[in-house]
Parts: sequence; structure tokens; C-alpha cells
Amino acid sequence: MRGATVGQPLLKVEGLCVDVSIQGGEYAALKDVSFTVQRAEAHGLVGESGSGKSLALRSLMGLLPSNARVSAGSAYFNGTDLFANNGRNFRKIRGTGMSMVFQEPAVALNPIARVGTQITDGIAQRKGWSRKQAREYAVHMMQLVGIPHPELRVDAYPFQLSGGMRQRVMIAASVACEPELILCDEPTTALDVTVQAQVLALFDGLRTELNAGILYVTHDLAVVSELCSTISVLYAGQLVESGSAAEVLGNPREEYTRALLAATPRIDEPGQRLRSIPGTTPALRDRPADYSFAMRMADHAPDSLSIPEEH
Amino acid sequence: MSTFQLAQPASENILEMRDIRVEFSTGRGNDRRKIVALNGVDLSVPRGTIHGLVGESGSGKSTLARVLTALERSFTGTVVFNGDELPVRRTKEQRRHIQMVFQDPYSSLDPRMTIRQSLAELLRVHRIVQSRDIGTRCLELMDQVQLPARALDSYPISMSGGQRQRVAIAKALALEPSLLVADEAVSALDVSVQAGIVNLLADLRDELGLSVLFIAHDLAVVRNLCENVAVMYRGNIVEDGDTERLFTEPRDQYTRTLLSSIPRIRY
Ligand SMILES: Nc1ncnc2c1ncn2[C@@H]1O[C@H](COP(=O)(O)OP(=O)(O)O)[C@@H](O)[C@H]1O
Ligand SMILES: Nc1ncnc2c1ncn2[C@@H]1O[C@H](COP(=O)(O)OP(=O)(O)O)[C@@H](O)[C@H]1O
Ligand SMILES: [Mg+2]
Ligand SMILES: [Mg+2]
Repeated sequence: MRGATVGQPLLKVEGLCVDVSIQGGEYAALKDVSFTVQRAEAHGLVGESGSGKSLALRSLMGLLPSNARVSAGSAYFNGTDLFANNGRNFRKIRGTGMSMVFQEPAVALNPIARVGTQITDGIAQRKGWSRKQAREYAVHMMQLVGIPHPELRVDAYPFQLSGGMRQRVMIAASVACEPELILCDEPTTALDVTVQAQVLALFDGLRTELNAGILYVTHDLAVVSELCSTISVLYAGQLVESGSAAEVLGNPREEYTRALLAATPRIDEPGQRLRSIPGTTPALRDRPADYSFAMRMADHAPDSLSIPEEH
Repeated sequence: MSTFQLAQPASENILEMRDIRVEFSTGRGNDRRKIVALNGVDLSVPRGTIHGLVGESGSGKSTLARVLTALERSFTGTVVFNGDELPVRRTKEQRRHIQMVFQDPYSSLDPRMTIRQSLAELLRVHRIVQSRDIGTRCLELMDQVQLPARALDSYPISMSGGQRQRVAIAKALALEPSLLVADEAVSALDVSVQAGIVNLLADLRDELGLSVLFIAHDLAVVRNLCENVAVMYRGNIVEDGDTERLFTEPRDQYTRTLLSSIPRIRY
């Protein structure tokens, strides 16, 4: 079943445009974004907040907010056009073919179902497992995401667990069905570094052992460097540069990528003064049609008349 | 602690906390449990330095910060500040010297007041400067946190996360503290903005001689910013000392686990 046609990428996104309507006006949140994810590949999608990372992932899951829509472009998963067929293709693929790990666990867990049941919901049915088998698998998955004493917690309800635990349960639930493609939206931001390392190892294991593709959204270049072999950099809804992790992080072509790297503290190069990026990504309504990072830098140039917003 | 610091006279430390213990009880009836949030913690901060405090969530970092800033008053042990032991009930003057900055700056800003109004009120209530000098002092504070003077007439809602954090720092500095406690103050910011706040804290240390207890979970930031680091684990400080020493020759098992978990840019 797994890995249909050889040579065909697992996910191919081309010319993706997402528009958001705000108070009667439509604004471009993603403009002509293209990238691919191969089987057994982890691809990082990085950028500051407001760059459109979450909208990109949500459009691939058919989970855009009601005021946002895909206005152009295509996304093929295993050759299936995700945006065709009026969104019915999503339902087929969600859960088994493709699953998403959200940043905020509250939105993804059912408050009135036991966490063990939520983890094994999809796969137990598909594999025809007994309750005992499903429970054992849930405990196993909880262990993999670093939940201490999973056998004591497998029957708990979400509210009985701490925020960090809930986040790990959600990660376990998303990967338990062994999806071919995992979409991750900053899933480790709220976790301790030691747990983050475990979760990254879990994702890497799914990639190497099950050939899963991973699309990993984050603003953390170090995390991307650990997990991903290819990277796309997004700024204000536009693809700035993409390539192998070594190229993008080791020898960036674009000024924006260089600026992000210069702002990131290096554990291996302490004592270097960091360089912040002046200003912020403008809100959708404040982006001219031809907006680019160069405009942000020009706005905040030392001799510019406008007053800097950030240093 | 390194031997170098032990050799210094006590007053070289702006802060010495000794054997601090905090317990909470939670639940009722059969569920009643005692949580030892701080289990006899010792921590010294040399004057004019930034001291990092790291450790997993729930290890007791915020509780320590709350003891330090008198928000938590049920504790045993002693807090020696500037050579004097602080009583459990501190005077206004004693509280003024230790100021705190939180992760979410919005919570400490009054949405109905302009930045100028907030700062002026603080300066007036604490009688920091004479009335006629309040305007000048507000401008100086904006300068210290590297915000344009124009920001004085803005409301918090119109500011970005990074700008609000600068205002929160300005409010702390308005009281002319000697020690700033930053509890995850940069954790919620984009790296592009975080870099500016990290640089600002380094500048305040270098230019004003401010001492800072910097609580964070990003170890790369801590290694870049802090002279010393303390590592907390389950209510205990398991290792404390010179940052470079700790990162290159960790002695404690938990510290080693922590360091080996740090993601790094490998290119
Ligand atoms: N439902 C929505 N309504 C209005 N604006 C939105 C909505 N969703 C996202 N946006 C805006 O679109 C831009 C991109 O958002 P998002 O994809 O969440 O960015 P990121 O995940 O990179 O931080 C931001 O400017 C955000 O404010
Ligand atoms: N007001 C409180 N009541 C009960 N338990 C508390 C309270 N405050 C903190 N704790 C507990 O004390 C421990 C330390 O918490 P905290 O100091 O917030 O840790 P950190 O800041 O390192 O994440 C945790 O187990 C926490 O649940
Ligand atoms: Mg997002
Ligand atoms: Mg805390």
C-alpha cells in the first residue's frame, strides 16, 4: 500500500496561493509557494511569525479558517490532487495517509475521551485489534514520546494531564496510525529541551523506519538543522529560498536567510553579539503588492526618516 | 561555585539565597499531596553579572523568582541582598531594588494607559524623581531600552511583542533596581526580536552595572548572555558555575543530559 509510484514525490505543492478576507477585503497570505517532500525526507518550512507557515500546513490538511481559501496552485499527495473534488479528497487522506501535529494541543484532543483511546482510535480499527492490544500499543506510543509512567496515564482524560503531557499525547495520537506524511506545526515549542530531543528522535525514526515524509514548520533553525535535510525559507507569504539544509544554513543566498541566521544564538559559537532584525513582518493589510524583505530593511535603514520599531 | 567566587568578600554578591525551601500542598482528602518546589536552594549572583537559571518545567525556577521578588512569602531560608538579610515582609524600598520581567509583557501593562502615563505614575508613587523631572526621566528610560521617544505616547495594544517587552523592562528600570529577574522574558519572541532584547540586557549590564537573574529554556541564549549558570532539577540546584566551564565540562548527570539534548545548527 505504502509508496505507490517510484520517482513521484510524496507531496508536491506548486504555486500555492492563499487569500484571507478581513472586513470585506481580500489579502494574499501566501503567494506562489512551491516545494516538494519526498518519501523518507524531512523538509523544514521556516520563517518568523506571520510568514504564513500555519496557513500553508492547514491548506494541505483542508483545515483553513473559514475566512481563508486556496485561490491558486495545486498540491499533489501521492499523485492525488488535494484541492480537487471539492475537498472530499482530504477526508480520505487525513489520518491514514497524512496527519498533522498542531502547536496547540487543546484544539486537537477530545476533552471527554481517554487519552489512550484517542491515540489508538484510527489504527486499532484498521488493524482489528482487541482492546488489550490497543491499550498496549497506546502505552508503547506514550513511552516513545517521553511520558513517564504511561501505564498509569493511559486511562486519564486530557484535563488530568499537564500542558506538556497533553502536547506529547497529541504527538503520539498523530503518529500512531503510521502516516506516510506528517505535517508538524511547531510541535516542540512548548516542550523541555530533553523532551524535544526525544520527540525529534521519534520523528526521525518514523522517517527512517517507515519511510514517512515530514513537513516540519518552525522558526527554530537549530531544530530544523537537527531534523531536516531540505529547507524552504518563507517571508511574508513568499518563498525566499529553498535547498538542502547545508546550502540554506551553511551558505545562504538570500539576505533574509542571512539575517535570520545572524539573529540566532549559536550554542557552538558563544560570545558573538546577535544581530536583531529591525521591524516585524507587517500585517496582511499593510503589505504592498510587491512587498519584500528589502522594503523592511529600507524602512529601518539608519538614515531613513521613519523611526525604527525594533532594534 | 568556582573557587574564584568563593574567594571574594560576601558583598561582591548582589544576592545570596541560602537554604530556600518552599512547599505547596495540593488536592483534598485522600488526594492531598505535598509538593517540594524548592528543596533547600543556595544561589549567589555576583554584582553586575547575568546569572542564568535553567531546568525543566516544574523544576522550581519561577518559584525561586517569586521568593526573590517577595511574591511568594511562605518559605524558609534566608535572602541576603546587597549584604543585608531581607525580612519576609519587605519595605517598599526593599522591594524596589529587585524588579521582575515576565514572559508575557502584556500582563504587566495597563491597556488604558499610554507608556508615558504608566512610567510617570511609577516615578511619582515611588518618588524616584521630582515632579518636574518626570518628563526627562521618561525620555531617558526610552533611551535606555532603545525605543523611540514617540513610543511614550502609544498604548500597549499598538505595539509589537518585542516593543512591549522593552516597555516592561523600562517599567522595571524606572524603579532603579540593582537586580532584574527575567522569567522567560525572551521565550515567546521570534529570534529576530529576541536578539534585540538579549543585546539590551547585555548593554544594561555593561552600561548600568545591572545584575540579572535570567531564567530561560533556550540554552544557546544562556551561553551567549550569562557569566554563570545554575541548573535546577526537581527543586534542587544540581550544578552552578562559570558558563563556559559548565557547558564544556558538566559535572552533574542531569546537566549532561540537558546539554546533549540541545539542538544545534550543524553547518
Ligand atoms: N483567519 C485569519 N484571519 C485573518 N488573518 C489571518 C488569519 N489566519 C492567518 N492570518 C494572518 O496571515 C498571516 C500568516 O499567518 P500564519 O500562517 O499563522 O503565520 P505563521 O504560522 O508563519 O506565524 C499573518 O499575518 C496572520 O495574522
Ligand atoms: N501556587 C502553587 N500551588 C501548588 N503548586 C505549585 C504552585 N506554584 C508552583 N507549584 C508547583 O511547584 C513546582 C515548581 O513550579 P515552578 O516554580 O513554576 O517551576 P518552573 O518555573 O521551573 O517551571 C511545580 O511542581 C509546580 O506545579
Ligand atoms: Mg504559526
Ligand atoms: Mg516558570
